[in-house]
Amino acid sequence: MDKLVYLAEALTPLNLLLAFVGVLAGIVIGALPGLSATMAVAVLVPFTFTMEPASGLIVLGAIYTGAIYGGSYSAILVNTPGTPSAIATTFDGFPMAKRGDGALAVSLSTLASVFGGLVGALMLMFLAPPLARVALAFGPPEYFWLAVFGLTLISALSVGNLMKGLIGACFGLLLSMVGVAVIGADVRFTFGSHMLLGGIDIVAGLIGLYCIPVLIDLVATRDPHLKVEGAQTGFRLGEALSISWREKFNLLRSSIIGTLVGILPGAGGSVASLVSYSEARRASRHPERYGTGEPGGIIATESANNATVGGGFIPTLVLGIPGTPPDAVILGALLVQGIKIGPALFSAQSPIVYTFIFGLIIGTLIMLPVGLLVGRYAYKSIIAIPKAALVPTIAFMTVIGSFAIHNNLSDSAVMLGLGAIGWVLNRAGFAPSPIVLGLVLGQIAEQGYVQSYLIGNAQHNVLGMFFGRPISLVIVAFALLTLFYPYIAKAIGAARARRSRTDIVVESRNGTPS
Amino acid sequence: MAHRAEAHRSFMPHDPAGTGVAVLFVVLGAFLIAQTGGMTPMGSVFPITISAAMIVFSAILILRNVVIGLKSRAAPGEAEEAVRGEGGSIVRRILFLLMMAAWVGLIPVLGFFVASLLAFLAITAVAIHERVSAKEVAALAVIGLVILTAFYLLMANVLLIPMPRGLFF
Repeated sequence: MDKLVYLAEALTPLNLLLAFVGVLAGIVIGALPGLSATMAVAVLVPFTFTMEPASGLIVLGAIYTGAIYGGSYSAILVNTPGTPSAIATTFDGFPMAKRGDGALAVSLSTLASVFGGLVGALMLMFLAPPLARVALAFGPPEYFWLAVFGLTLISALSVGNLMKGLIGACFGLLLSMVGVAVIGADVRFTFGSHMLLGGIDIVAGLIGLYCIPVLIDLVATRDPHLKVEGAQTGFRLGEALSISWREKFNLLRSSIIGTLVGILPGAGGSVASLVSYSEARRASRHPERYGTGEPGGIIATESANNATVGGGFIPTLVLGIPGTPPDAVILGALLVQGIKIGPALFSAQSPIVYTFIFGLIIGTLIMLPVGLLVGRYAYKSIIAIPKAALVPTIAFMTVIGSFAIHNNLSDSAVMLGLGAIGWVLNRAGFAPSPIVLGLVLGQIAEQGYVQSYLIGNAQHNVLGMFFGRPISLVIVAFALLTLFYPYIAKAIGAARARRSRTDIVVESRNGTPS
Repeated sequence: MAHRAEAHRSFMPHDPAGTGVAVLFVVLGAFLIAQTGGMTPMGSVFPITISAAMIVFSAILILRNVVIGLKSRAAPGEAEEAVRGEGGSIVRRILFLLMMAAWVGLIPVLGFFVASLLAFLAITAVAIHERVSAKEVAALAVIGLVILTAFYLLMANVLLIPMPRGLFF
């Protein structure tokens, strides 16, 4: 337990204060749609250069973890994920807020985020080197199948109309191909417009698809935006704790999935939360409740996306390969601080690394009181704002948020255009989530697919490339399981019913006097 | 004659909006495949595959809707309700979209702050359904001004984002 020495170093008043300020700043920036965790970290990096390396890292870790958590507020309260990691939080969070359980949803997301963050940080502390080696075994085919696994969630999201979900996902995938191709550098589907040359930004797309249709319908009707249930706007912490206890396996599974996906370079919180959401839904006894305001959905996504924070640091610190986009920014900050990244880091510069990991744990714990308090006031103020002020405010956020991604108004125009298309599609029964899923996973899927194909072609073994690798096969198995689970569950249920009927018959035969 | 009238009445188009959109998706898919002609094989394999999948899924949806429409004798009220959707004012919806478009379009002309202030007030007007007193209007305008100023200062001076300037700021 020599590591405990570093705990004392992390616990200095200055470091505690820095962690507090970092978490608060992260939450506020993360809660604003369009301002992502990457941006929060990038904007505040220069401030850390004047600090001690360990303190600077603690601030960055705290901002990062706060921003990932903050994304859940806007997801729950206004149906727009503050960061892409919170896409799946909207599925159950907003329905809960609409029926008056917004405070409970925020408390649940806080508890899940803290738990997920702790699991990720502890795995970073104890399992970093061996886990980083596993991540290196992931090649293009594994990434392709991981993206396909994420897409199988469509079957879960489009209950009742799988075909519309699949069409929406194809549309989203096609949207992700606009601009310069990831491989081959073809200019695709820009129709001569310079605006589309850089492609459709994921954040602009998700602000447009989720937010604009909600605003359009808010403007059109007289009804209040959220139901106000006066008696139920407290913390509802006890209720949240008991639900979390009931969902403890979900919580643990999602945190582990989050850490593992976080380790994979390039696949960040959005993939982690989608994968764990679909796993939670598959494993649940009531999968049909997911998407209608089921607490388990929030627990799965929020624990997973915060677990990616610790998970993402594993390859960043051990291999020098950033696990998630904010890690890339932090990696840059580490290099500026003169810290040599690599397998020797944990032995040669252990004071800095372990102080940082303890700082991350402290930051995550601080998130609990700060998150609950901010969440409470956020919920109260959102329901207190009259609709005539809320609509233009959110509209302003969408414009400024999409503009701030690249300081470019063409992103705002794309956001608005997609929003209008999304509204029309919504009216025809095409939900926005499959489209967003296609948009988010499109590049990962295409890159993995084309690279695997090229490597397989060169080795004259295309099929072996896709289906002959053990990790790929495991992911394929999970994808198939998710896609066909409803049918498998039905078959198992029918078999069980048949068996129990046989048992009854046998028992009654035994019971009858012969 | 009576028999034909009966047959005619029994055909209730199932999910006309969904079918219409699916037809558009088939057209879009075909159009996008036609666009891939000038691309390298590496760049075109994925778009062609996904466009083809979209066409197939849309065709299945159209076929399914037509078959259901031919089979079922849906109650007229039900079908009407499906078409009407959630209700609410279409004029306000279109006005809102026009305001948003004008907002994005006017930022380079008027500058970020001024364009946003005008659009903010215009959208507030579209979102008001009840009669409001002068005092409430003033309160809403002040709320808008405070929110805009706070965010403008945050973006321009703290986050150091270069804000677009036009005639004003």
